[in-house]
Order: sequence, then structure tokens, then C-alpha cells
Amino acid sequence: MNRIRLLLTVLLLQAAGASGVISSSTVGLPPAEQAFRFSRIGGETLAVVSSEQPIIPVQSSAIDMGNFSTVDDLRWLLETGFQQQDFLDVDQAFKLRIQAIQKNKIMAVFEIADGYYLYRDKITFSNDGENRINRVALPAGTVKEDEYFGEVTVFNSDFSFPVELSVPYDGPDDGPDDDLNNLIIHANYQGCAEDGICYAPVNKSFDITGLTVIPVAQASHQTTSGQTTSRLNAEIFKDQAAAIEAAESTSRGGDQYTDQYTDMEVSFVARLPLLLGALFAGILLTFTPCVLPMIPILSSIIAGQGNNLTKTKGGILATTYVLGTVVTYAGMGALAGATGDQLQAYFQNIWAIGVLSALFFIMALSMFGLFEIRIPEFIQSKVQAKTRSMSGSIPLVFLLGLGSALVLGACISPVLISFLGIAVTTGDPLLGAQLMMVMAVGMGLPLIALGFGAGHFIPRAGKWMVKIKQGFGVMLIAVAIYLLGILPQVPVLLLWGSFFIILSIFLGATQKIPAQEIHERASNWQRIEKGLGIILLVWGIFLIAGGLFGQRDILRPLPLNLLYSISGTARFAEQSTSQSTNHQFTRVSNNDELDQQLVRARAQNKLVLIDYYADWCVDCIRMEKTTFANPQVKAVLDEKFITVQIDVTDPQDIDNRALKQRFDVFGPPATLFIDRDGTPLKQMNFYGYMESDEFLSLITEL
Amino acid sequence: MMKRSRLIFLLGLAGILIGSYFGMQKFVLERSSSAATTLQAIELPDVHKNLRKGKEWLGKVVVVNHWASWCAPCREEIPMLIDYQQQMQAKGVQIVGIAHDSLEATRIFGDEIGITYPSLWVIAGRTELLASHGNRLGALPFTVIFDRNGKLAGTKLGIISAQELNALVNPLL
Repeated sequence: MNRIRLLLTVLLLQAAGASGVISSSTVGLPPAEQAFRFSRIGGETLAVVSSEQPIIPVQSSAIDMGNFSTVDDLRWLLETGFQQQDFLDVDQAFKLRIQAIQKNKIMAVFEIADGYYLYRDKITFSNDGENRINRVALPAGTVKEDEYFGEVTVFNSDFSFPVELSVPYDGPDDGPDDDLNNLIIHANYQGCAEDGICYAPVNKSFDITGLTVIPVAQASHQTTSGQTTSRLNAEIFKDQAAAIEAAESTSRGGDQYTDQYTDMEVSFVARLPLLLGALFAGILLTFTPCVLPMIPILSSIIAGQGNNLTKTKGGILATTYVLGTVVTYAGMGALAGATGDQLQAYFQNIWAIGVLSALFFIMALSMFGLFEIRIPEFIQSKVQAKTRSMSGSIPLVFLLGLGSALVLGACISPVLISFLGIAVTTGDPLLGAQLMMVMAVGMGLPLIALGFGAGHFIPRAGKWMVKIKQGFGVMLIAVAIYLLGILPQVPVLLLWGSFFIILSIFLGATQKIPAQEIHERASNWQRIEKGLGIILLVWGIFLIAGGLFGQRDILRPLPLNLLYSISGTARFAEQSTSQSTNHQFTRVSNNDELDQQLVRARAQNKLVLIDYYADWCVDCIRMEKTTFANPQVKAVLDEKFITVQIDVTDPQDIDNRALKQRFDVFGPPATLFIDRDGTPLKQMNFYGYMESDEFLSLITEL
Repeated sequence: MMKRSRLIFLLGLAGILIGSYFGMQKFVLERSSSAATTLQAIELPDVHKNLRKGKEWLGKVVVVNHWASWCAPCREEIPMLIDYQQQMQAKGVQIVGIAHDSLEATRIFGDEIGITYPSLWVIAGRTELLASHGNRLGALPFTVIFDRNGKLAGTKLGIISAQELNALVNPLL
């Protein structure tokens, strides 16, 4: 189990890593630290291993995850995404590597991305303890006229320079490590992008020992960073703390405490359903095919064979064992939660979500019996042999619980992994621990019941257990789809629809209920199942239909205005047809036609406005009747723009889909702008209706 | 036997469904609240060392401008914001500056430029604050607009123009 947990973590880390989300330094910009590892190979040769930082795909961070159902949310996500995609992460804009040249000299190598610059006077080096930095030989740099700072010297391309260190004499040189012991060097620098944003000052640390640089572990490296900051900013922190304290003491009407109290209360109440769910899942897990048959065996192992056991003693032993498993599971949960805390910011990331979702899906397949995760037989038998000798004594049984949670959990591990996955995504160690703990208690309850002699409450093993396992599989697939739905790129309703329809067929929605067999009841159950199946089938069909219209809300799959246009009372649709004859847009129906218009615009040195339109889109028609009909708007559009309208009424049409994909548009109404030189003006794009005045100010500004 | 096992199965399925429904809701809830994208989540000291809470501006359209003394483009756009505040005050717009600086720097540069609107400052947790508003680069200037209910309504990284500000603020008035 432990191994599997590790695997999960590794998978997540890889997912994060693949898209460039490893180092803590990318999260906490100032002071960002980078661990460097020097090792001495032979005499003066040095190998430098730096933890290179890959590109960070910038999407809006963990904001209102999982709820992008409205166009507004989507629009906001797009806007922030677009804005930030244009700028690099600070560690991509300015890359610093340190190379050791001699034992008293290091080389700092800066790589500056195009369109970015560092201020020369903001580059400083310092070290902990007595000053060892002798000379920082910065190159001249280029002079830049800054409206506010006057003439400043900057570096706007790659450069490198030596930093000379003073080495204290400590006797004859008899080893590699006695020259510069644990010298921590901090590099500070600050810069901006030409396009008008500035990055906060960066502080990176390098741990140099002699010619060897001591490996700085990721974890300790974080604490160093914290320490460094606090030292550097001790004064400032004091200021801020004092200010907050002063403010609190003046406004101490007691409401602060009440706030806190209710916060805690709310969080517990909010957690309760989740925890109850975990408890229930735990109890159900017992009734899966590989756990239930194990219970009597387990129970006899715990109690010890041949012992004359009272029910109380048996119960206490079983409880002790369960407590052992609870401790292990809670620990795993806490670990997962803690890992999640660091990864949380990246859960918006397409790869992280994709991998997590794939993991859930694979685990679901396991629940359907496609494969099994199990501990190798020889380990299992060894463990069993060992455990026999431990039975009967309370402390030993507790230890047994601690350890066997790792081994015996193997065949239900898909569910465990999924629970850990949830713990990871919540990013809260406490919640992770609570979840796993409650689940372990649930799993242990039947065992405890058996220990106290209440064995007759536990149903006998049978084929029905497979159904419970399959039920878990269904839930896991649902979670996988839910996770994918967080990504705006995924047509989530299509997935839900397919899932519901397939599930309905398994529930017998399309099958005839077989003629009465032996029990009337059995057939009634089948009726209920079939009924559920049909509901899912119908719902699934609606979901697929809605998905094709670019909808994302599972409870409201069909766009309301679609109903208008279908039902013939389509006032809107009529208007649009009469309107379309005299509006000023050039309609294009495929990418080639669009390209023609783009070329025409460039030739005439005009901007391009692209309007995604559909007959069933109420806002589009409203906009056409009001905003686009406004004479002032018309004048500006005629003068400055080539206006193109893309009719995406038929979402099935291949050309339409290609046209939507081209600019990542999900559906109408969407208004896009292209600059005179052909570059999309992403930050100007908007979804939905816009009033004449606002629209006018937008297009006049362009 | 058959009867009981079916019952257990159905109850179990219902249990899981209910549990996961609430679980997911809670999950979503926690996400959105922990992301702290609301105006109410802002609690920072101002230059007079008074703790200012975002909720005091609820009911207004609030423009939060993140800036710093080390950021030239920030200082370029602030005079526009000062004017904007004066023009739009009556319409219910409130500009709030958040300096990513020490108290001293905030005060000195704020006075130099002539900031008249509330001027808060942040050092510890500045990255998290920016990230919660959707800025993961930690770069400035960065402007965030909250609607009258304190809900995040728009952001802009880089210098914001009066037109852009109007386009974001006007629909919320």
C-alpha cells in the first residue's frame, strides 16, 4: 500500500513535472531559491547540476475550481489565462546558474529571455555570517531611459560575471572541504518585461562547501528560504506584525473571536457529510469480494488459535487491531494531504488533472475486475506466518494492525488510492487524515462486531459483493469525469452523457424484464433497476445533446434558447433571418474564407472583428439588434474594421467546429479581435452580450 | 438471503451517492473559499497601521491595484487611478491600493505620487494574495475588480488604461 501511495505521489509529481511545476520557488517568488549541487570530480574539475525550471503554463490558479458552469466564469478564466500566458514566469524570464571556477571564485550566468531585462543595480550577492563576498564584477550593461527612474542600466540579454570570495586561511590545504564551509550565498535580482510588468525581487541561495556544494534537499531548502526571508525582512515583518496587532487591539470588540469560532464550527459541519461518506465507503469496502472472506481468518489470527477467548477479550483485541490500521491509514491520509498542499496551485493544470482523472479511471477498471493490484504471494505468506506468532497480545495486535493495513489493503487499493487522491486534492493534511481515519474505522467495524461475537450481523459472502465492487467502480469513473470537467477544454457533458447511457444499459434499460421466475420480489428489483436505467438513459441523451451545443451544466444541459428555436415560436430566429440580409458582416463558413478576410484586412491595414453567431443564440441576436445597429458603432466598425461573422448554428458541421477550435471558442456569442498585423488581441476578446457604449469605448480604443 | 443482500446493495449505493454528493459539494465549496477570491478575504494594514478589511467596501465596485515602489509601470498608472477615484467616487467606485512593499516605502512613495485612496501594504503572503486573485507570476502592476457583492469580476496584469478600467467597471455599476 505504501508503495502504491508513493506511486501516486510520484505520478502526481510527474504530472506536475511534465508541464513544469516542480519547484517551490515558482510558487513563492520572493525569495525564490534554487538548489545547486556541485561535486568534485578529480582535481579542479567541477560538475554542476542545476535544477532547471521548465516553463510554467500559466492558467488561472486554484480559483473556484470545478464550477465553470457559467459563461462568466469561463470568460473570466479565459481572460486571466490569456493575459498571463503572454508573460513568462520569473524563473523563465531570468535564469541564474552558478558555476564554481576556483575555490575563491564562482561564476554567475544569467540567461535573459527576449523582451525582459534585469536592473543592474538590483543585482547583489550576500552570504550568511561574516561577509565573504569580495567583488562582484558586473558587466557594464545597457542604458535605458525610464520615465520614472530616469536613466537606468539594465541587462536585456544573456550575461555572466565572476564573483570573488574571500577564503579564510585555516591551515594547510588538506582536504576539499576546509576552505569554504557551508557558505550560503544569496543572489538577489529584480527585473521587468518590456511590455510593462515587473517581477518582485528574487532571492536565490546556493550552498557552497569548499569546491563541493552540499546538496540542498527540497524540504530543508524551503525552510532555509523562510529563514532567509525572515532575516532579510525582519524589520519589515516587525512593522507589519506591530501594525496588525495595533489594529486588532483597537478593534477588539470580540468579533474577531466569534468569527474564528464560527469558522471552525462551519468547517466541521461542512466536513461532516464528507466524513460520513468516507465512513460509509469504509463499511461498504468490507463487503467487497476480497475483504469479507478475509474477516473470519483475520479474526482468528488476531484472537490467536486455540485460545479460550471471552467475547470481551475478543472484542478488545479486534478493536486494538482496528486502531492500529486506523493509525496507519490516517498517517497515509495526512501525508497525501500534505503533498497536495504543495501541488494544489497546479490542480488547474491540464496535465495534473488529466493524469489524476486517468488514475481514477484505471482504478475503476480494476473494480470491474479487469486487473487486480495485489501484493506478491511470497510476501503475503511470509506476513501471514509472522503474524500468527503475534496473536493474542494487545500491544502485538496493535502493531499487527499498523503493519497489515499496508499489506491487506492491497486488493481494495483502487478505492484507497482514490481516497488518497481526494486527500491530495483537498491539500489539507488534517482533512486527509480524518478522511482516511474514518474510512479505516468503517472498514474495521465488521471486524470489531465479529470480535464481540456479533458475527451473525454480518451477511454471508456471495455474488452480491461483486456488485458493491462494481458500484465503487462506477463512482470512480464518475469522479474521473468530474475531474476532467474542471478543464474548460473538455466537453464534459458528452462524457457524462456517454457514461450515463452505458450505465443505463448495464442497468437493463434496453432489456426486457424477464418473465417472473421464482420470486416476485426479484422481478420488482429488476423493475427498479430498469426504471433507474431509463432515467439515466434519457438524461444521458439530453446531456449528449447539450454537450454538442457546448453546454457544461449537468443539471441544465440544454440551452434555453435552443428550445425557443425548436418550438417554432422562434421569434428570435425569424428576426435573425430578416436581419442577416442587411447587416454589415461578411459571413464566412470555413477557415479558408476566414483566411481570405484576414488577408484582406491586412492589405487594407484594418482590424478584424470576428463575431461567432448562431440562430439560436439570443444574446447574438440582441447584440445585432442593439449594439451592432448603433450608428456610432457602425461608423467605427466601417472605418477601422473588417467585420466577419461566423455562423455556428449547426454545431455538428465540421467547418464550424474547426472555426471554433481555431480561436478556442466554445460557442456563441463570442467576439474576437485581430490586430492589423494579424496577431489576435486576446485580452480584448469577450463572451456574451455587450452594450453599445461599452462596446464603442472598446473599439474606439483599438 | 437474496432479499437482504439486495437491500444492502441498494442502501450502500444510495449511501455512496449521498456521501459523494455532499463530499463533492464540500470539495467545491472548500476550493472556492480557500481560493479567497472575494473582497472580504482581504485584510491588510494600511499606512496608518490600521487593519483594513475588504468587507468595509462592500456595496461599492472596488478596484484593487497591486503596486510596488520597485515597479516603474505601476507608478506610471497610479496618477490615472487617483483621477479615476475622484471622478467615479460618486458613482460608487472605490480604489484600494495594495503596495507590495514595506510600510516605509509604501508611505514615502504613496505621498510622493499623491495617493488619496486607501493605501494598504503586504509583505508576508503577497504571493498567495496575488495567486488568489489569479496572478501566478507574482508580477506587477496587477489590477483586480470586485463587484458590489465582493465577487471578483475582472483582472488585468500590466498597466491598465482608463478605457480598460471603464470597460470592466461600468457594467458593474
